[in-house]
This record gives sequence, C-alpha cells and structure tokens, in this order.
Amino acid sequence: MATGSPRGSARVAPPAVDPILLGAVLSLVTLGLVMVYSSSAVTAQDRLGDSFHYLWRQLTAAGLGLVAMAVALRVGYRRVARFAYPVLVVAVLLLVAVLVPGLGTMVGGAKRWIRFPGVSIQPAEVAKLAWVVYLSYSLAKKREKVALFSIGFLPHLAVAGFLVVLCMLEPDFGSAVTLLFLMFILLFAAGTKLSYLVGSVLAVIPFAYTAIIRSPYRFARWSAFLDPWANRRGSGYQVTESLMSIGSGGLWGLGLGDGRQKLFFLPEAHTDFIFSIIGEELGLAGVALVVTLYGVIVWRGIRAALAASEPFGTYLALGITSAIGFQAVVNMAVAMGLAPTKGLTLPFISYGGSSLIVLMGAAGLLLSVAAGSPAAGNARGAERQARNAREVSADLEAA
Amino acid sequence: MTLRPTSPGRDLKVRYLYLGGAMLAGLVVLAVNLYRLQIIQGDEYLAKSQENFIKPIRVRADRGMIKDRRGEILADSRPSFDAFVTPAFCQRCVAEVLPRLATYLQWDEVQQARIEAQVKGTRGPARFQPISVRVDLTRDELDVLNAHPDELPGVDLVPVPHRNYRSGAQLAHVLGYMNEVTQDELDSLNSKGGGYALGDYAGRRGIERYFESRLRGQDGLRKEVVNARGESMRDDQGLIGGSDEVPPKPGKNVVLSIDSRLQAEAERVFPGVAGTVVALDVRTGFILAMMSRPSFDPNVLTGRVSAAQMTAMAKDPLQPMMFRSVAMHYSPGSTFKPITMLAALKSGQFNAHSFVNCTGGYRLGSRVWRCWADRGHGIRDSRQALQSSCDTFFYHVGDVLGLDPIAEMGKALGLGSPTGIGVVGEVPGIMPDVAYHDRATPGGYQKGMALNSAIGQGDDNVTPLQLTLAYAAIANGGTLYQPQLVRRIESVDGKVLEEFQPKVTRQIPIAAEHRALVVDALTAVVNEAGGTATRVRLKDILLAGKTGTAQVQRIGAVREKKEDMDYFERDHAWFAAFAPADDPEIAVVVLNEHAGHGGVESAPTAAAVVQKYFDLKKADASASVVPAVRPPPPVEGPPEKPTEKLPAPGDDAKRKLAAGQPPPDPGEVR
Repeated sequence: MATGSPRGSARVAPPAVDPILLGAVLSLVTLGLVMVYSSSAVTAQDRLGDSFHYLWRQLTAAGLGLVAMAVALRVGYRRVARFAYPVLVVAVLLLVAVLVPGLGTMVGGAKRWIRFPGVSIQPAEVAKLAWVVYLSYSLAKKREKVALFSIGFLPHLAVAGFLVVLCMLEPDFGSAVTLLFLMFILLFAAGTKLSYLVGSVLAVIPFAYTAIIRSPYRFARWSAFLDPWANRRGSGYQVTESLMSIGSGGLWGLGLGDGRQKLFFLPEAHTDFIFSIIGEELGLAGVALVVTLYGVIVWRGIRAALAASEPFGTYLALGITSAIGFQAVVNMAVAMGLAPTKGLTLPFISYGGSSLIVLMGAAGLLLSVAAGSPAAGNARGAERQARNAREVSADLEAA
Repeated sequence: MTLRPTSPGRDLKVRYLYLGGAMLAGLVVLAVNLYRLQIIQGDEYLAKSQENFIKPIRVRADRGMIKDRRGEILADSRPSFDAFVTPAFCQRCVAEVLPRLATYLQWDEVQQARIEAQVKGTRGPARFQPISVRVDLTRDELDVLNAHPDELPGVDLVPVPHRNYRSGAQLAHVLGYMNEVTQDELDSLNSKGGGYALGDYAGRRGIERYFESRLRGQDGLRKEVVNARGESMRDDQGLIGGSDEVPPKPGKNVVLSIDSRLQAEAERVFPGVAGTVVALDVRTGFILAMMSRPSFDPNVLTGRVSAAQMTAMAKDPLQPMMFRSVAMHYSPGSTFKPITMLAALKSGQFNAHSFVNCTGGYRLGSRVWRCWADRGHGIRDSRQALQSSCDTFFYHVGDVLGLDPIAEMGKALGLGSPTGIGVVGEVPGIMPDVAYHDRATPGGYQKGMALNSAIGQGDDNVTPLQLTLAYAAIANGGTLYQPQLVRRIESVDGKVLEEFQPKVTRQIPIAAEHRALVVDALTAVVNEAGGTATRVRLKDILLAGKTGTAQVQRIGAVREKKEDMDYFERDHAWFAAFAPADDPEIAVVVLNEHAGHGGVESAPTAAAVVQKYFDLKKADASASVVPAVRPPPPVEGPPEKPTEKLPAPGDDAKRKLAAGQPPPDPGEVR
C-alpha cells in the first residue's frame, strides 16, 4: 500500500487493516471450520453418508464470507450509508417472503429459511446487519435531535416493532431479542435519555412474559433453564447434555475428535451447541481461547468506534461489535445453562452459511471503520478521512 | 443545520466505554463459570456423562411380505443376527478380540486381514461407527458368541430381520433380491424421505425394487441408556420417557397375480437348460407364471455372497441374472405366422381360399427361400398353411404385401415396443418396417426382407412376454392388455389398500372372420392331423397353438443335425398357445433356447402348464364349495369342436385372389 505512486494510491490504496481484529475474526472462522467438521462428521456420515457434508458447505460459505469481507473493506463503510434504506427494505421483503407458504421452509416448527436450489438463506441474519446500518445512519443524521422523544426515539421504536413482529411470526424469538437489544445499545450510545430506555424495557417485559407463557416451546425452554436436571428427559435434555459435555472437558479436553456428545446425544451439535463440543474436546484451554477472541473483537471494535471520525462510523462499529458480542455471550451462556435456550448461533463458529457470510461482511465494515480512523496509523488516513467525511456530510444533507 | 464530522461528546464516549465494559464483563462471567464447570465440577460431569448416555436406537420396521395370488408367502423376513465391532469400545481389539472372533466365526486369513485393516484404519469419530463383521449369523455362531460376552468387548450382536425367499430361485427374476445401499444411493433415497442409513438394505430388481417404498415401512425410535463403553444400562433414574418412543410402521404386503403352483409346474416340466415360460390371463393381462432359466438364488445374493460367487455368476455364459421373459429378445420364427396371416387377410389380397403350391421353396429374383419341409407341402390354403407352418405360403404373402402391412399388424399387437410391465426391466424388441431397414440396414430395404419377416426371421425380434400378449390379444378378440404382476397392495392386517385393475393398451380392429380363421388353424395345429404339434393334444381341453423353430444361424447348403451344431448355434424352440380355443382364458408361451424343434422341445411344456391351470381351477372350485356363499361356477365341459366357423367365401368373391388362381379344393389335406 505504501509502494504505489501518490496519485494512484490516493485512489486505490487498500485501507490499512487492523491486524489484531482481522486475526481474531479469521481465527474464529478457522476454529469454526475445524469444530463444524468434528461435531458433524459422525451424524453426517450416518444420515447422509458423507462425513464432509457440512464441512464443504461451511468452507464454501467461509470463502464467500472472505469475499464479502474484502468487498466491504474495499468499498468502505461510508459508502454503505447510502444504502441504509434500500438494504432495510430488502431485509423487510426477505422477512415477509419467508412467511409466504412455498417460499419459506419449515424446519423444526419454525419458518426461518428461504430455500433456493443449492442455497438457503436466513432473512433474520440479513435483517440484523441491515438494522444496524439503518440505525447508525438514522441516528447520525438526526444527531442532536436524538434526545427528542418524537424524533430520536419513537420512529426507531416503530420500525423495530415492525421487524420484531415479523421475526416473531416465523417465530424467531432470539433474533427479535437481538434486534431490540441492538436498538437499545445504539440509542444508548447516541444519547437517548436513560429514562426512555429504562421505561421502554419495563414496558416490553409484559409482552415478553406473555410470549413466553403462551408459547409451549418457549415456556418449556424457560422451565428447562430454571432447573434443567429436573427436566432432564424432556425440555432440559439439550442443556444437561451440553453441561455434561462442557464439564467433562476439564482443562485440556478429551482431544479433538474424541468428544462423545456429538454422537447423536447432543442435538444441533454443529449449530447452536457447538460451544459445548469445543468445551468437551478442547477443554478450558479451548473455550478460554474462544472467549478471549471475542474479547479481542469487542476491544478492537469499541476502540474503532471511539476513534471513528464521524458518528455514522461510531454507531456502525458499536452496532456490529455489539451484535457479535451479544450473540456470542448469549450462545455461550445458553450452552452453560446460564440463559434459556434462544436459537442464537455462535458468531463465526456455528454451522450456517447466511450467518457466516453476513457476519464476515459485517466484520469487513468494522475493519473499514477501524481503518478509516487516524488511530489506525495510516499516514494518508487523515486526508482521505476528511474528504470522505465531506462526502458523507453531503450525502446526509441530501437525504 | 449542517452535520459536520464531529467526534462524540465526552459524556457519550463514556457510554461507549460502559458498553464495551459490559460486554467484556459478560465474557469474564462466562470464563469464571467455565472454570467452575470444567475444573471444579469437571469430574462430576465427566462421571455423569460416562454413566448416562441416552442413545436413540433405530427400531427397524418389518418389511412387507410378497405373496402369490392366493396369499401364499413368497418372500418374508425371518429373525436373524448380524455381528458388529465398534472400534471405540473394543479394547485390545486387534491383539485379542479379532483373533477370538476369527476362531468363533471361522474367518479365513483374507477376511481377518481385511477386518483388521478396517479396524486399524479408523480414526477419530469413525471409531464410533460399528463395522459389520458378519451378516446373518448361524444358530451355532450365535450361541458361541453369546457364550463369551466378556471376551468380546465392543462386539455387538444386533437383531436384523433377514429376507427370506421361500421358493428360492424359482421366482427370483420377478421378486428380485436385496443388498446394502451404496453411499451414492443414500442421498437420492433420503431426498424422497426414505430414512435410510448406511448399512441398510434396499430392494434390487423386480418387485423388491419397484415396490421398495411400500414394502419398506418406516423405522421407529427407541431410547436406551448406555454407558461410555456403549453397554446398555438399566434406566434407574427414569431418564427415558415413554413419550419419546416412536413405534415403527411396518411395510405393506404386495400380492402378485402369480400362482405359485402354476409357477412350480412350469419350473418342473420345462426340460431345457435355458429358456422361459410365460402364462397370463387373456381376459385381464395379469401374469400367472413367469419362469426364466437359469436363475439365481435371491437368498444367496441377499446374504453373504462371496466375490467368487459373484464372478462365477457374471461369467456364466448362460447369464443367470438375465430375465429372459422380458429382457432378451429372440426371433419369433413360425410363431409369428398368425400375425402375418392376419395382415394378409386384412389386406384383402388373401382369404380363406387363397392357396400356394409348395415345392419346398419360393423363388424371388435369383434366390430361393427354402421351406422347412425340404420336399414341399404341395397345395396349401391359408388354414392349412398355418396348420402345417408352410414357409412357402408366407414367403408368398411377404412378396405380395411387402414389409409394411406385416409390420403394421405386428406393431398393433404390441411387437417392437415395451409392454409397459414396469416392475422389471424390459427391451422393446424389433418389428422392422421399410423405414427401419432404410435406416438400419446397409443398402436399405430389399424385397427379400419382407419374406424373412413374414416367417418371423430376419430382423423380427420379440420378447417372450410380447409374444404372449400378442397371442392373448388374438385369443380375446383384439384387446391388447398391459401386463401386470401385482394384484393388490395390502396392509399388514390384510386390508386391501390398493387394487390394480386390468389396463388395456389398445383395441386392435381384427375382423371376426379373420380371427376365426386364425384361431381355427391354430386349433388344428394341435388337434388335427397334419398339425405341427398334434403330439400335445389334451384330452379335455381344446388347446390352440403354434410351433416355432427359430434359426439362430443362417442355414448353409446342408441342414445340420442339432447334435452336430455348437450349442449357441442351435435353433430356438418356441410354442405359443392359448386355451380353451373356443373361450380362451390362458395364453402360454414357452421358449426353449437352442433346443431345436418347437413342437418337440416346447409344446409339451406349454400343454402341461395349460393342463395344470385347468386342474387347479377345478380343484379350487371344488375346494371352495364348502365355505362359499354362492355356488361354484360350473366347470366347463370339454368342447369337442371349435365353435368358430370359417367365414363364408362369398364376400371374398369380388376380391382379387392371390395369383388369380381358383379356390383350391378344401378337402385336399395330405
């Protein structure tokens, strides 16, 4: 990047990449590939006759994810602002489409996938990123008015409500909670009065309570969370198997590939409960590494947010960091029996193409925010940043 | 107001730090809990996980049975055990366990080496996959293995129902057999919701394959508490709830139209080393017997078939896996002549009084086409020509008509295209016409080809099933049926789920008097002096039929004796028949490969099958007298004479007679 001619490099020089953040993301993706294979090989062999079935698919998704990451980094997060509304509209259309009979595929009682020949996408994963981009843009645009109830709070709450309803129709409680959580984080960061936030949380509680009480499976999950061992043969089955799985790992684990829970005992071993298999096979050493890597992403993400040159970058970085951090914490907490089962995947690690590609694209945007800040140490950063900032301001004004 | 790039205010920056701090705190809480789970309580959980695995176990559904038309069981499943080794649970496997197994199961060295390599070769998760080391254990093997459970850790004896074909090789081609699904098949089977796993068996060929989805049923699920070594434990803690069990759904029974007694009779009376017998109901197209020889034992193919056995079967020049009734085509020879005759009558250029003077051959251009009777038949009218199978007459028909009218009649009767039987793979055969020869034969169509085709030689090729259907259509007055092997599908408790109705392929417009002439001539073949199959005349049943002796090799200057020829160059012996001639019920075709003369080598088999059919009918009728609500149908008395009368020649008076000759003296029979 430093070798090109000054004129050329001003135009095409790749942004300076935060090597620590990039390293953490790629490490998680790599670990994910290894663990997806380890946790799915036996079941895939037994049910599909090909132990590599899930690995190949995850490898393909990781390849596409790398492309998405490179594109996001190259395009730059600032230009993404322009697409805030179109992307949100697309996300909403996908969320509606998944509910249309014939388009959405029913898996395990929920319609969460749109299946095309060869690929299936999970609209909720797209929606999370679209939601973060939209909120960041909207909050950056409204800047000082964010503190006003009718401008900064109510409209976002309305859009969020719409998305949450769509998610709940699938039903996908975990994604709905994630969307709400992300909104609160970003409103909090943008300076909404704490009283509004606290007040609305209190207002949501009755709805959440009703949603849990009135849905048998959610209620079962809730009671399983409260006392998994009492419900061991029913709703607590997954959690107790997961606990035994993590617990039996010890310090160094049973060894890669030697876990037993994935042998049909633990359902969804390669998706929602992959963390249990990491705990079992790689022990405390392995899970500590995973926790540390997420910690690194949070650290570098917050750092990028703080250093961003304009509010859009700040909110985007915060939103993406929170999305990754929130899902990671909740997923691991579920595996450890510290939170009720949600259906949230472990970012970058769990099997699932839509999630991996979207998350890697989001990581690209995060890297782009980090690169665009002077703190990243790029000599030409300040100049480019100033120019880009002007462009963004112009965009924002135009909008 | 303008929005300028501003860094967030101081108070907001604090909020970001709170957020980051909160997330990091969350991670720290998780880390602390992980330490508690894995280090402090780790041993406890390890013990728990080793003591209590709840393992879902597939409960195989019983496969449906295959029965004959009267409900006699042809294929069912018998209890049996397979032996498996799971490397992960098999301690000191190669050093101790496998040598012991080798002794108990009497493995040879090759087998032991192969399994040793398999056990040694598995790594990682594959070590939990059971390896099949012996299917279908004998009673003795089972006793020995059961007596030494402690010596054989990781060895499981799994009850697996084994397919049992009660009549052995007798119906093998129709029933098919079963073997293990390959990896490639798993995907396609499971995409249709089959629920197959590696190691499962699936039907191959015939009924087993065609009705696989209905015979198979749906596996159930049972849960079992096992420890870390895979051993079953008592469910002390009530871990398994009864509600989690899914009972298996048994497969459905397939009831064939085959009568196993008639099938056995065909098997018993057929004299040849290779050939086929097909019998079907001319009124419905349902197949009553379909024998193909040589055959194979599906019990062997379904079980422990060795590589040597497979090679021997593949190398056998008689091809035992080949279903001769449908999957091979042959020159029909003289059995084709009734079809030529129908074409001749339909053309209007021949009638009952057309005649030819056979001098032992027919000259066309510079070549002479030889009649099988070297010295000639003398004067032969249509009926006599068919009765004595005079080639010269039919050469003449071929000469006058050309190929296409003959091919048209053959095609109308189903020759040259698949019958649509469905269950088993079939070839279409060939019914050549002018266009076919222009396309396929170097030099294109020549007039001589019509002469060859007229006597069922040349490029005429039929499957025995096609020929049976064509004869059935002649017998029933022109209805060509789609042949069927299956009468109905039943549930396990015998409830009829699906009943198959006769399917008509097409109605063929055959004039009643034309059919009458042909039926009369075919009756004379068996029942009147001068016929080619008078030796098989039946006492009580009016049998109609046609012999055929199909050349495999072009006849040289001198006709060789059968015994002097190489086996694969000898003629095929055919007999195609139906009975009773005045009210046909059953059509039978017998093909005895490379056996020589049809009247000698095939006709007796057909006659015996027909005889058996009517014997069984009589026996069944009298047996059902006692429980039957309605009186049994009257047994048909033996008809002495064909009721069909020859058509009056008056209609033909205006028509041009062949070669413009006067009608022959009808009384002239040698």
